[in-house]
Amino acid sequence: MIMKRISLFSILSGVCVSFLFSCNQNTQSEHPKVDTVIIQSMQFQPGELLVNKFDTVVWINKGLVAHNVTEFPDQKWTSDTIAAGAIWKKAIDSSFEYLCTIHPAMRGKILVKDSNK
Amino acid sequence: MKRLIIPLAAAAFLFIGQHAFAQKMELSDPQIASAAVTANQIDVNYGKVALKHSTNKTIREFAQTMINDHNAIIAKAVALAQKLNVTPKDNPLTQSLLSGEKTTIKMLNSKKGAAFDKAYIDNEVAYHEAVINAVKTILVPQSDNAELKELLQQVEPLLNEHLEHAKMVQSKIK
Repeated sequence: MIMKRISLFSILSGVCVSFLFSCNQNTQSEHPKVDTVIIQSMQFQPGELLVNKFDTVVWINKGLVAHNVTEFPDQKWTSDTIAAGAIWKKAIDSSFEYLCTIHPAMRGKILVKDSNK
Repeated sequence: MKRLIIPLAAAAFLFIGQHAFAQKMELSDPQIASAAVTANQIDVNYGKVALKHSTNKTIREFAQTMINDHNAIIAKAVALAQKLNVTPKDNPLTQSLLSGEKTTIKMLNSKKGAAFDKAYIDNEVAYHEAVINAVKTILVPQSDNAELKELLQQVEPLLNEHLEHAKMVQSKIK
């Protein structure tokens, strides 16, 4: 009888540990992370960035002049001017294309995984 | 006929960059610093003329970008010259640029309205093409100091983007 209880306790403990471990893994994989786009040589690098929904993207201006990040083509939103040496960040909830309206030849894309866009 | 309106400063750069004279002209780092700062200042000055004469939103935005960007490059160049204890030195290239600027500004000031907008943006396309050529064929190859060479190389993509931007504006103005 005692052996049965110990055995049952062991099984339940194992199941609980596995469940907790599994939960922890899921939490870690879904935790929003920070991705980076470097502004350098008059380019957004990388030009296309694949991220998870709710990640934050940080644009770091390592160039010589000021830039901005503006939704393309409708300009639904825009960053403030990002001075040389400054950064700007945005939480991502959907895919979009963007450009620098100061230098319209500079363009980039943020793509959300499993997004329809 | 319309292609005849190539500013003297651009023509000087084109001549220097594309002919045998490019190999004969040898510039020291202080002379290169002078030519680089002057070339940037000239485009700032063209931008100021545009803000004075044009009411076209696209032209005014482009001109303001030229003023901001080229002033930023001048600030970097001046800071580097101070760091390296280099005093920019006058030279024939700088003088030809200044001479071309004088003629071009006189030409721009003689125009109004749409004719001014067209003359300004045509000049911007020609000037950036010429400056890019000069940076590639004269200023970068002849720079001895590594930091000066690096700054000039960093400026190249900016000039290329300005050229593309100028062509976009030109296509809307024509």
